[in-house]
Amino acid sequence: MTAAAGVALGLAAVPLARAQQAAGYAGSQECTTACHEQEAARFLRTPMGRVFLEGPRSDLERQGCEACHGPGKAHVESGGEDMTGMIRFARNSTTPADERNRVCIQCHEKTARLYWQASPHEASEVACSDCHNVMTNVSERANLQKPTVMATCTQCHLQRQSQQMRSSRMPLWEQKMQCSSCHNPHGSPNEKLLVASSVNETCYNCHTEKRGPFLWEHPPVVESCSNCHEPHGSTKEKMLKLPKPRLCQQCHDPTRHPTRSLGPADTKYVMGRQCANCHTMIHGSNHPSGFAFTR
Amino acid sequence: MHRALVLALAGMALILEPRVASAQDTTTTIPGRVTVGLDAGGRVFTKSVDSVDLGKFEEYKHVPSGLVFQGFRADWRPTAAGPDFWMTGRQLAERDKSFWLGARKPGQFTAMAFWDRIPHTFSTTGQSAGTEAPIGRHKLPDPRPDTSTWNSSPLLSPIRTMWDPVKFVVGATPSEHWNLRAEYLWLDKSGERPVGMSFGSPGTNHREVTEPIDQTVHDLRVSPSYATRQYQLSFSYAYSRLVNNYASVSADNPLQTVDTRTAGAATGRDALTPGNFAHTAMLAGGVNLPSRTRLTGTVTMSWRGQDEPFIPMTSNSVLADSVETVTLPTSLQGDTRTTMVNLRATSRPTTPLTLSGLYRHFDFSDETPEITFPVRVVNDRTFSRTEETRHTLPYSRDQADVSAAWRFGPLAKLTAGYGWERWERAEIRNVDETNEHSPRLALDVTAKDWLHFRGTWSTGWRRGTEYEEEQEVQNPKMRRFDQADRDRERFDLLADITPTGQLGFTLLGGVGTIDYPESEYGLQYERTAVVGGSADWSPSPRFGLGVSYTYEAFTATQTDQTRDPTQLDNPTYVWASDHSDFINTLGGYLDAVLIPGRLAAGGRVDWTRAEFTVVTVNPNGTPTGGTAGQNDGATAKPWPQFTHEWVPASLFVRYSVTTQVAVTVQYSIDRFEGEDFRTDGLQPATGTDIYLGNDYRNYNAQWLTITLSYHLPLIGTGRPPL
Repeated sequence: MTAAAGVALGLAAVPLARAQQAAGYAGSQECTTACHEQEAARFLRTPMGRVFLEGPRSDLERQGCEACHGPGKAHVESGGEDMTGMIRFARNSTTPADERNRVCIQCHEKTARLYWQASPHEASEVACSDCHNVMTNVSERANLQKPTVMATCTQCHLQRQSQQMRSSRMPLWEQKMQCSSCHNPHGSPNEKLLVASSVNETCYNCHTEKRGPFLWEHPPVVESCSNCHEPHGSTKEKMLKLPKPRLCQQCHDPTRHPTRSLGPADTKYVMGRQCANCHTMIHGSNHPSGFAFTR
Repeated sequence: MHRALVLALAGMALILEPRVASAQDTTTTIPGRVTVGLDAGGRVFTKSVDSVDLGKFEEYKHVPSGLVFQGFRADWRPTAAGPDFWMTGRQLAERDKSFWLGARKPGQFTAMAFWDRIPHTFSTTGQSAGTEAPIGRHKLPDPRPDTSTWNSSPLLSPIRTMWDPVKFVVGATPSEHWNLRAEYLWLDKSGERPVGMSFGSPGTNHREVTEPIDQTVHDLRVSPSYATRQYQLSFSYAYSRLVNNYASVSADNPLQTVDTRTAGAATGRDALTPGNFAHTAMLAGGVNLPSRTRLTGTVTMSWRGQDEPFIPMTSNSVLADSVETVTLPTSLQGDTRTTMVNLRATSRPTTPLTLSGLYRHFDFSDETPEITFPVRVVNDRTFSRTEETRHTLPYSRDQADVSAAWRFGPLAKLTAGYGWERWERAEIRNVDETNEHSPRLALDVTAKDWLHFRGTWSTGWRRGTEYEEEQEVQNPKMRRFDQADRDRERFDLLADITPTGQLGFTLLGGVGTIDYPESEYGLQYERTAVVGGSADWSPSPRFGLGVSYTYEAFTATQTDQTRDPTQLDNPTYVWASDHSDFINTLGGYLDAVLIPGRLAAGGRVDWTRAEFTVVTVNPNGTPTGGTAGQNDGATAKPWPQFTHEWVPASLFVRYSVTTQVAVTVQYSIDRFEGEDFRTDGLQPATGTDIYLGNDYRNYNAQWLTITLSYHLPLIGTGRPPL
C-alpha cells in the first residue's frame, strides 16, 4: 500500500463537512490528489495529520488542509497561481506571524499554550511554524522544525548553543535534558518562561535535595540559584558565574580568609574546592553546628 | 546480559516483517504490522583515553569500545483506526542507556513510560590513603598517613553519581474541551561525589572525601484542564518527596587520632541534605474577550517541609560531655511556603495597536517555629555557651509590566514597555526594600518575505532603602550585588534573513552594562558583548549545510580591602580584581544524500575556546603600614589564566545495502584541553590539607563506530553529535 493510497483511504473515511461545502473551500481531496500528494502523504504520518485526515473531532478538523491554510477554491481553480487568502507557514512566508499563529491557537490555546498571547515569543513576532513543522515528522516528539529541542531553540538563541559548549554545563548535548525541561516556550505565568513559579522552584524539580528547608539557610540561595549559577553553561566550575573564591568575595570580604597569594598557607582558600573546602554545605545545612555551613 | 539482549532483539527483527519507511519519517507504522528498527555494531578507539583521564570525557556520557547498540524501535498499530504502540531504546550497551515505551492515539490519549539514565562523573583521579567502611564512614589508620603516603595512595574507583529517572505519563483528551494528564516520576540518585570536611575553620585543616548519594525522589502530578475557544481553565497538583538514605558522612581527621578540647575531633561529621516534601497546587485560567482581548490569571501555592532528626551537635567526645548538659532541639519542623499570583491582560483594540499589562507577586514565607541552640560548637573544636538562633529569610517580590506596540503596516512594529520590580526582604538582610524600574523599546522590521529584524534597547535603575552595613569584621563599606543600587543598559539586535526558502541567515549582536554606583567595595560593574551568526542552506531535502559562530566577552571588576583588627582601613590594602572572559565558538553541520537511496554522508563539528583571567592589583600602591606579614597578606597577585578548548566532532558515511539495511561508518573526535591552576595536578597532601586530587584531565579521544542498521529511518537520524 503506498502512502498516497493511504491518504486517499484516510480522506475517504472523512465525512464531508458542511464547512467544506461553504463558499471558497475546495476540500482537502482537491489538494492531496492534484498537486500536493507527497506533502499529504507525509502529513498523514504526523499526529495532526492522523487527527485531521483520519479521525476529525470537529467541523474545523474536517476541513483538513483548509482548516489551517484557509479556503483554497480560488487557488485550485487558478491552477495554483492564485494565492489570495491562502495562509502559508514556510520560513519565508508573506503571511504575518500573528495571522499564522491565530490559526494554531484556535485549537491549541490551552494547557501549555494558555499564556501564548502576550508572551515574549509572541511579542517578538515568532510564529508557531518557526519552531514546529506539523507537515512532517522531523523530531521524535512535538513536531519540531529540527530533530531536537536544542537545535530548534538555538535557531535564534545562538548564544545558548555556545554556552552549551562551556566546560561546565548541563547534559543537553547528550539529550538527557532539553531547553523545555526548564522553560515553556509557549508562554508562562512565571519569569523567564520558567516551568515553575520561580528559579528555585524550577531547579528543585531535579535538584530536590537543595529544596530544604534547612536549619541554617544561606540567603542568596533561598532567593535564587541564579545569584551564583549560570544554568546555561559556564567556564567556571559548577556552572558558577565566577570562580571561587572571587564569587564568594562579591558578598564576603576576605578577612580571616587570605586569598591574595598561592603559597602553601593559603591553599585551602584558593585550591581544590576553594571556599567549599570548609563551607561544604553552602546550599544549606541541617547540622546543629552548621551555622557557617561547615557541617 | 547486554549481548543476550542484543541477540534476542536481533532475532525478533528477523522474524518480524519490515516495512519501508519514508526517509524523512520517524514514526511510520503500517496498520496491522509490527515494524522494527535496529542499529547495532561495534566501536574501536583509534586514539584511546587512559582510565585516569576519562573523568571529563565521560562526564555525562559513556563511550566504551566494543559492542555498540545505538538503538532499536518497534512500532505496532493494530488497526488503521486504532492506537499506536511503540518501544525504543538507546545506547543499550552503555551506562547512559534509555528505554521508552508508549501508546497513543492522536487527539485521544497518550501513555508513556521511560527510563533515561544520566551518569555524572566527577573524577577518575581521586586518591585516598583511607578506607570507607561502612559507606559514609571514611577511616584512617593510626598513626595517620604521612605526606608521601597520601601522595602515593591508590586511586579510588571513579567518583560518579547515577541518576535513574523512571517516569510514567498518561494523558487523555476525552472530548474537544477536556485534557487530563497525570505523571509519576521515580528518580533514584546513587553513587558519590566529592565533599569537604573541615576540622577547624579558619586556619586549621580540612579533608576532601566522598559523600555517599542514595536519594529517591517521588514526584506525582495531575493536571486536568477544560478549554473552550472563549475561556480555559487549568488546575494542577504536584506532590514531591525526597528520601535520603544517608543522614551524614564522617571522616577521620588526618592530623589527630584523639579528641581534645583545644585541637578538635579525631573524626568530623557533616550532616547531609535532609529528606523533604512539597505540595504544589496551581489554578490558572484565561478568557478571550472582544477586541482580541485576553485575560489570564494564575495562582500557585506551594508548601514545603522537612523534619528529619538532627544529628549530634559534635562528634568530639570531649565537647559532647558539655553539650549533653543542655537540652537541644531535636528537629527543625521546617515549614516554608510560596505563593505566586500572576495576572496578565493583552488587547488589540485596533488592528495596529497591541496593549499588554502584567502583575506578578511572589511570596516566600518561613513558618518554621523559632529555634535556638543554647550552646555553640564550631567544627567540633570550640564550645561556648553562646546562643545561636535560626533566622528566617522571608521575602516577597512584586513585578509589573506594561507595554504598547504599534504596527506601521506590514513593515514595522514599535513596542514601548516599562517594567517595575520590588523586593522586600527580612530585616536580617542588608536592604529591606529595593525598587527597580526598567523602560524598554523594541523595533521589529519585516521587509517583504526575506528579512525580519528586531532591535531592543532597555535600561534600568534599582534603588534600595538604607543599606544596613555588616557588623563584626566584615567590611562595612561592602555592598552585596544582589541588593546594591545598580544601573543597567542593554542593546540587542537579531536579524533573520531568508533570501529563499532554502537559505537562511541569523545574525545577532548585543552589548550590556551593569554599574553599581553606590558600591565603594564589592562588585563595581559588569560588561557583556556578544556577536554571532549562523547560516543554513538546504537547497533540497537531500542536502543541508549550516555554520554558526559566536564571540562573547564578559568583563567585571570587584574591589575590596584586606582588613585586619590592627589595619581596619588602610588605603594601601585596597585591592581591585578585573575578570575577563573571552569565548569563541564555532559550529557546523552537513547532511547530504550523495546517491539517492544508497549513499549519505554528514556530520557535525564544534569548536570552542574560552580564556578567563583574574587580574588583581592594589590600586593605591604597594601595601605598607602594617607588619611585614600583614603587608604581604594585603599584596594582590594575579591568578594564572584559566582556559578551556573543546572540540567534539562526528562525521559519518552511510551506505544503504537495501531499502531496509544500511551500514554506517562514523568517525568521532572529542578533544578537551583545560587549565585551572586550582585543581591541575593537585597533590592529595598539600600543606596541612588533604584533597582527593580529583582534577579533570585533558583528553583526546578518537574512535570509529561501524553499525548495521535495519530499518534505520524508523529510529531517526537525529543522532546526538557524540
